[in-house]
Amino acid sequence: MNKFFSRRTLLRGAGVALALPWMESLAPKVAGAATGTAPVRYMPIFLPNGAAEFWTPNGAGSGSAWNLGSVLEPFAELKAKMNVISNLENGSAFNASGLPSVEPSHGRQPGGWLTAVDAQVLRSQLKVEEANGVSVDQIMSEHAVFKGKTPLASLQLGLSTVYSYCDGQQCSNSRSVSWKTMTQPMYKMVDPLQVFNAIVNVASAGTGATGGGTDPNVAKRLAMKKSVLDAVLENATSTRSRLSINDQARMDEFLDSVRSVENTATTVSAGLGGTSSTCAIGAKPTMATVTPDGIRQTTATYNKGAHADAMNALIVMALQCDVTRIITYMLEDERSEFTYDHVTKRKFTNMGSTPTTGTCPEYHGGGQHGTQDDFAAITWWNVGKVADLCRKMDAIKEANGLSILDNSVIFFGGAMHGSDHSCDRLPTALIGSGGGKLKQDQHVQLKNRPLRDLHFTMMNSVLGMGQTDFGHNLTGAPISTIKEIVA
Amino acid sequence: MHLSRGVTWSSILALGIALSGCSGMVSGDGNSATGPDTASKPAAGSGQPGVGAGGASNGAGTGSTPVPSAGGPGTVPGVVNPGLSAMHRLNTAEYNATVADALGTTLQPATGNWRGGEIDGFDNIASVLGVDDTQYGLYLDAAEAIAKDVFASDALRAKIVTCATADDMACVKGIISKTGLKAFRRPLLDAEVATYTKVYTTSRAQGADHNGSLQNVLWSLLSSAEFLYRMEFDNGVKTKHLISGYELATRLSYFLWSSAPDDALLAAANDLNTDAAIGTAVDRMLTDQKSARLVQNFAGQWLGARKVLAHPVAADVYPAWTPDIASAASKEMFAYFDEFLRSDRPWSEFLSADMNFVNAGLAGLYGIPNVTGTASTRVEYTADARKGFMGLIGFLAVSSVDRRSSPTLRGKWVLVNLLCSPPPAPPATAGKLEDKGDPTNTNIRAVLEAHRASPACSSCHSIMDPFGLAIEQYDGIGKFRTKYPDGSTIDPSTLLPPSSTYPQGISFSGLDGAEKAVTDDPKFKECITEKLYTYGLGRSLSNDDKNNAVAIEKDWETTGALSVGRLLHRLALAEPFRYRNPGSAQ
Repeated sequence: MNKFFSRRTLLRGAGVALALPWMESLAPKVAGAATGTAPVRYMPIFLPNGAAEFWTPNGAGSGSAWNLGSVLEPFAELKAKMNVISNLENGSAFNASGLPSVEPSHGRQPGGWLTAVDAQVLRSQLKVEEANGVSVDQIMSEHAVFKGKTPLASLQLGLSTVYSYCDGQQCSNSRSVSWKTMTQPMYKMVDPLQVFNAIVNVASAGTGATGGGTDPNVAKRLAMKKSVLDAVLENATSTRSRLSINDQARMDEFLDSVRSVENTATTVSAGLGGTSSTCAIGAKPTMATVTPDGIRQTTATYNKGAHADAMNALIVMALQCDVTRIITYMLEDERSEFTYDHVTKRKFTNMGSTPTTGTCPEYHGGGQHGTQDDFAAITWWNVGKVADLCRKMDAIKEANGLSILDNSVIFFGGAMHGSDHSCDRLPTALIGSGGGKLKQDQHVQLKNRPLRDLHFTMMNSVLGMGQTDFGHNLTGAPISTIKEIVA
Repeated sequence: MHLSRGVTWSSILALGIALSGCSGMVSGDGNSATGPDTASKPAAGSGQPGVGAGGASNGAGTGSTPVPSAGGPGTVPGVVNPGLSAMHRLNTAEYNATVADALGTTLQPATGNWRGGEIDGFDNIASVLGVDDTQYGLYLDAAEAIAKDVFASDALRAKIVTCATADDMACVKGIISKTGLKAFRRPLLDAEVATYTKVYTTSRAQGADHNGSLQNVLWSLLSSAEFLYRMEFDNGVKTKHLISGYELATRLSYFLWSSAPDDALLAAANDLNTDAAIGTAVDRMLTDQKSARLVQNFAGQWLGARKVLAHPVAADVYPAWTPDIASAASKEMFAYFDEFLRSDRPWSEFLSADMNFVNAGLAGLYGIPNVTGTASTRVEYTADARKGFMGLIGFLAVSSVDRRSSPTLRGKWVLVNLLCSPPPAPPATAGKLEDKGDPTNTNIRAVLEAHRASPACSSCHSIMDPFGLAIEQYDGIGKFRTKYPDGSTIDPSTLLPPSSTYPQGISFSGLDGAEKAVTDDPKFKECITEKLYTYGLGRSLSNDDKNNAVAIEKDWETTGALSVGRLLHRLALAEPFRYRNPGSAQ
């Protein structure tokens, strides 16, 4: 049962907003037989600066034939729900030779992570200063599989608190991985309070999930918001005709954004916001994540662990309340220089790691270019936060008897190998099976396989989107499905 | 592959051991200045300055290649077509400043989370300041919060609500016109007033009172494209044309104040059509304290001062680097530029002025005696060899990596920011360099010399490294030293290979020698012009723009004192600032 549409139907029939407990009584008992359905979610999680060598698993194959690499050890209890994929490469999106050298690496490779397009070439072809391919998460969100099914088409989130150096390239290449159109990078929300508001705006009204029910003040504010947006649209549409051709294109981007916000507001005012029998609005986050000059390390008021935990809780909330099914999450901007002084140094071997003394350095110069152990410790900490998120998602069962994690695919990885900045051997793990569409518990050793094949496989084999192509492969190799991971 | 990792070009960049392409100076696009003289000549065939007939003969609707005329707008000789103008979303600093100045709110809702794009070293470049659903949602919420904040204050509300009769539509329209002028930086059309009046009537119908309904009007004005973007209208004109007085007032105010024009500038906007009027406006704006934002946002980005606080420094290597030092070092960089902005001090002294702005902690790091307290004070300490911008601790720190100084990064920084001559990107075939042990203790010169022994690398590193090698006597946080941690003596002498500026090449030594070599390069004066031009107009410079920057620099240099204030004047009077180029064929 699709909660969103079932609720829409019910509301239309009843003509009034209905309180949640009544809904719950109709919802299938999750502990019982799996009779219902649950939506598939897709979530790219970006690991900046590549990964330490200890990412790579020991052994290959499935089940007992492989073990997690020691920086992936926080995933131990979820190993049975993972694919770790070795030897994906994205150099072929940049170089006709297929070589993995793409310079400046931090400034260009992340732009291709979800697009398999060389932004630099596209910019010059389009004669604009900012361009990239449309990213896979956005192609998904525009497809019938996802489009219109949730109040928010997608969410872009991140944990970066300090301005990153952009390697002499457009910062959109290293601070955004989602591109809505070829000229429109998507910003991400970093402040947990902003994320909370974005979710609550669409999840609470009319559903009674926060006890608000049909609060007349909420309805009044939404009506006023609509009136404000009408004026904005009316004036911008009229102003548009006075602008140059180039500015009209910019204005169209603005108008699209306003309409999208208006659609969301309309959805909510009709009482159709995210509804789910498991929707639970958590506490309002309070932490400060922003100062004018950025936060570069732990302070009295800022702790990255708490930031990550808050974001994890919000992601779970967004998924539980079904306000969106696509979330793109950047653990940091590429080439982050955040100082991981909240992480104790560790000593790594192939078999595991143990804490030593002292605290970790800054991510890029001190970590990625520092000792292998420091880099591994920072990667391990970030992996741990993703594993926390996955465990939370796995603890919530849905109508089809599977967990939210089972019903999702988390594409977790980075845009470069590691300290060598090479655009091959990309650290990549898939967690969850998209509702049974992927095999599980595997270390898949591919042979220099283009990353776009993975996106292609996600779109077609997991989501059934029927795509015929995606991104670029300048070597001329045809796009193909990675059959090794498909169930 | 265990301890001696393979390191590619970009990791080398990070380490600062090596930086750029090894394939000579021919790669890259023709736009970037790859040598001292590449961009220094106006394009052949670009029109000569008009002589004789005065007036703005190249106004709206004239031919496709108008020529500026002496006596009319755009009197700087040699200046040709300005590059494309684009509508310009307010960035975070501009948004916060605008709502504070125009409405008096102390809310600063635009945050570092509202990241826009950033290219060419600045975050106010129109072409990369788009918007998306998420960002617009934040704008909408921020506008609501600001309107609420303004209407919660009796004093602030009184400035807007100048008549109190509910449903008196003449009153309401008057308020919308007046508030709209501030918000949109131009008078509203009648149809626009009617549009926003509908918000008032809807709000009244919802049961809100007069003030509450006007609060909702303000919410809608601040949510509008016309507020969030600086727009310039072509009104059907398809070729280069003069911008309106309001548009010029807006360009000037976002250039010099990072904010909207104030009431006085708006009131005088229609008279902003002579050199004298523009000059008067610029003078007034520079004496206003809001011009501190020019220092904050222009110099802060160009010279790296905004990066100092967040610059990573390894505490185990440099325990002396504290938040207090970082803060004082950042303030010093701003104060140093500020003195050039507000005095007649010639720009040619930027790399030789012997002044510091220090508190006790920062003075200690410099070795300057007799400074007490936590507040910064201006001192002229001549007993050491250190002077000029390149001697500032803030600069020396941000051009280093966290654990040591980096000659290549510093050299590249000088090429990119002080000489506007960035080295080309490294080729895909760039070789690898083994990282030898702990770089903190290494004699970097020896490592670099070994690296340059490769002919492929030498062509770029021979021009990048010298400026950095000459200032190696200042460590990763700018403290003076004569030896590396491994005990080897630092040799600050170096050699710049032959170039058009220095046909015989030039050898120099130490901070003083490096600063003189930069100052003597003609690109040094062109570079500040190019940077101000980029920042002032908020666009990536076209080839014509770059040529214009050179012409404006010549004009600056030949018509009076070489002060930054005069350069701002010459820029504001030049054609690119007063005209708009609508762009593509229509």
